[in-house]
Amino acid sequence: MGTRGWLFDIGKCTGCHACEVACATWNATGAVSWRQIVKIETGVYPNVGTRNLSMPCLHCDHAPCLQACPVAAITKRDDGVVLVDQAKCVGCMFCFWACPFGVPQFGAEGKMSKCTFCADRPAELPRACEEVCPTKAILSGEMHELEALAARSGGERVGGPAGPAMFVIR
Amino acid sequence: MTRMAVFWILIPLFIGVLFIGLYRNLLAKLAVIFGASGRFIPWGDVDAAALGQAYADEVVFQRRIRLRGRVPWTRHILISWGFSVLFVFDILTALLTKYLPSEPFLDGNVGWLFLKFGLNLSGMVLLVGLLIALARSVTTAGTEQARFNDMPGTVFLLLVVVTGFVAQGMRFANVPPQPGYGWALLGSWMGEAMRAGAPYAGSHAFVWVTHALLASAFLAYLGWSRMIHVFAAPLGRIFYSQVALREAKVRTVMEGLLKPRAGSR
Repeated sequence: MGTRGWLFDIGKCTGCHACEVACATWNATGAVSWRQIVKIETGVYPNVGTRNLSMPCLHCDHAPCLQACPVAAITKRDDGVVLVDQAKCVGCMFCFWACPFGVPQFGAEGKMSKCTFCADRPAELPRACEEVCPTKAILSGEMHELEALAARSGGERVGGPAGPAMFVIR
Repeated sequence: MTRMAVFWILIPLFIGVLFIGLYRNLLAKLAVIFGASGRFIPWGDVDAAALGQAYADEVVFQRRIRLRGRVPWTRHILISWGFSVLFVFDILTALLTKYLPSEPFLDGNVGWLFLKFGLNLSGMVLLVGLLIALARSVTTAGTEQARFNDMPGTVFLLLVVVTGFVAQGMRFANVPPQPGYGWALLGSWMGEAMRAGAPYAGSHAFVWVTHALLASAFLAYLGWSRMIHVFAAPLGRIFYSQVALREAKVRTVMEGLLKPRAGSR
């Protein structure tokens, strides 16, 4: 199995928050949200607009969160998915600060948590967020497949030294 | 090689291991953070009030743990404050009795009793917290909850504290009661309890050296175990109070995702 990641089409996202709800429900995330819709205002008056970004963990190739964890509570699976072992986590938030996207969340139980790529969900099924997205703005899959899809739509991989496993169609 | 020679070789070794651990597991991690974000906020944007509030909430009163329940909070605050105050009193005692001109302070016994009282009170506070932690580890053994317990750290620190009290009890039992010795609290109570078996000449030296070595080894352990949260957790959480830093981090990234990379399309 190759490494897995995301393809996100910014133009299709309506900011309906269905992905957030599906993620929180499937993963029982409690008070924290592993996927967050961020609204960004664009343009200059009078030509202004709002665009929505649905942000999960991007399961970076060289995950800075993993490198910054002082107790080795963060690991990367063979399929590229980055996971937090809450039993080892000491809740220092170093992963939050190291993550270029500020993804890891600090929970009420004093531990960090984040998107697990729906680790308990069969690989052949879409992820919970992807399954409910009404506009199909979110797609998960193996990176080489997503790369081909992104190329057809003029998308490109999110940049940065960490190597985020996400393609974006702007 | 005498026992004391081993002692003087091992103590600096353990302290060295602590510093290597702090470098590898704390400073190097902070370097990753600053390397990844490459961003500081200007001094003018630092919210000092929020910093102070976060310090009070996370370190002094540990309110976040209080929200999880009374027992976890009691256990954690007894251990953290007991350990911190005991550490400070230990350093103070070593400095005043060995390295600093402290006769005016120690003369007349008042300063000495203050040190003994502080050492023993903080040691007792730590001991109670550790016993609660041990009870929790025992009662949750075999359950899912047990994965979250730090049994090795608890037992290690408990050994340090117990050997400290036993060494002190033996020392008190070896001599007649001194004026004001009741201020040593548990140490003096143990001294009375152990008086029947006195004198403890060789065994006292053995227990004391064991205690000192365990205490130094525990300091080394701090840098290489989950106990590193003693340093890491306050740092990370106090940073989190800086809203400007959090917002700047997220905004730059999100806006960056919207912009085509130079040269593309």
